[in-house]
Amino acid sequence: MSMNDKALAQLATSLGLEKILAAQPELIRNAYDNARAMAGRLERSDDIADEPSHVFRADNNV
Amino acid sequence: MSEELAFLSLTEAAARIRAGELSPVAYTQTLLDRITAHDGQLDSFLRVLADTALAEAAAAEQKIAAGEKLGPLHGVPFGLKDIVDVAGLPTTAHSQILAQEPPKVADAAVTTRLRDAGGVLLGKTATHEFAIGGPSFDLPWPPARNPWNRDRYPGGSSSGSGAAVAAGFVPMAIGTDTGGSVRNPASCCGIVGMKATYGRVSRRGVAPLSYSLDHVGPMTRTVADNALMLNVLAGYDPEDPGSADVDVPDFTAQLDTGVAGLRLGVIRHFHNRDMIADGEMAAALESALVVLEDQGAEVVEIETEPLATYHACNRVILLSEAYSIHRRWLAERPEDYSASFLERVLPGAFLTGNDYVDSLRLRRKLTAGFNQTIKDLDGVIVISAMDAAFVIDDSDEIAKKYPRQARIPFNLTGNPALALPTGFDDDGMPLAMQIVGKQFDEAMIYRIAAAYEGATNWHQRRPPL
Repeated sequence: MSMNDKALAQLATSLGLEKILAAQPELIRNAYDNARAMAGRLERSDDIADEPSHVFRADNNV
Repeated sequence: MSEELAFLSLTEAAARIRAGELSPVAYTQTLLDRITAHDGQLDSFLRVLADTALAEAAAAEQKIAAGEKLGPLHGVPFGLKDIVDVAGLPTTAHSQILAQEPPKVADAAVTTRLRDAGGVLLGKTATHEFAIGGPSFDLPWPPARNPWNRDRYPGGSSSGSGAAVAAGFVPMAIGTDTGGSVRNPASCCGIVGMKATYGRVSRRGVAPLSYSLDHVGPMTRTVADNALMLNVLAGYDPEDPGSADVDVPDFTAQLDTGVAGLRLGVIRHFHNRDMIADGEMAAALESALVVLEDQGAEVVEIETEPLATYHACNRVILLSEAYSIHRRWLAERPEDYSASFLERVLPGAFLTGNDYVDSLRLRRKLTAGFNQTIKDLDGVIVISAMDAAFVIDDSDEIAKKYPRQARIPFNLTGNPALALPTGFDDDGMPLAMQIVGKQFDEAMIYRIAAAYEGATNWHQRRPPL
């Protein structure tokens, strides 16, 4: 999922990241590209029965 | 004499103090003198509490004289990573963001437990900014350095705790571990670091990085010391939503039991297929396996999911949760963060709710799969880092080597994992491995680690300060 600079600037602004966008626009671009690459590497399940782990149950992972 | 005192094990120091053979005041003063003499080269402490530490040591001495009941750490100094709260002191997280914050009103749960056991708080130690952005040179305080070579990285994010313990400034310190941050400095500095099972040690009063991955853990120079410290730290805390209401055994009970008859797994594909480890690091792990086999353990090779699968899952969870924590400051005060922090955490802004939920779905499968794989084993041997500690101010090397590690899987699964030294490379830098256990079976990890440590002498070497 790529995004042009204008759309990315709008997204960053909507997230309240105007200060970083103004000072370091390349940081926003790198963060976006890294995030999407990271998400792209995630193995995803198509089985609707695969539930998420539950964050605050300490015995969840047992 | 002062060098000998500085490198006393926690177990030995506590025993001598209890027997009236070592004055807590003299011991504390020796460590303070050592910090004064050497920490200017290492920057392991952000704040040294000389006056209050000596006062606490004097009070400890009076308790001994009065014949009062003594805790297991009575009169022994400790360090706290500066993301852990202490009543009356600010918690800076090594960041300009919190540098001007008012003092905390309460101790963190682990601070209370260490104090109740008789520990003497010696100071707050350096960390990566908010336990993730580092090593950084654009923060209010410099980064900690490695006692084995001050041009090298001491590991992180519990950098100061690792450096301080290895340097003989304190026999024990607290670290935290979200993607390996207890085990990384333990590995880089040649000490022992335990990330116990998720829920085993309370996180109350510790600045969060990632709620579902954060662990608090003990850092010491020996395995027995680590087990003793976990005895003090472990326990249910109803005020920590992730705390586990489970029995706490005596983690020192099996230290002398040996490994004869134990069945240990080794995961080699993390370091010879998924990533390719440095030759000396990999060879040290193979040598460690021989040591364990020579004592009667059976070692079998096992396979789990590729390291990249764990890493992708961990990064999405960690950065989603970290961004949630830092969202307001990132919007309002981005200039107060280090460049390294911004680079690492900002991607969290662009992960979606679906990315996060899918990563939690994968986490559940990875956890179930790993626990199924190890169900017939007593423990698992895994490499810690692919490389020994790298040069601290070489940004290219940091970018290349920082992610080359195999600690992250066990933050995801919550399994206990301990890092300990397996030797030194040709440059004199520590090498390390991990021992991973079943959920809440830290005692077995300590048993295996103690057997290995007892047959080697890596823990007896001292850095050349």
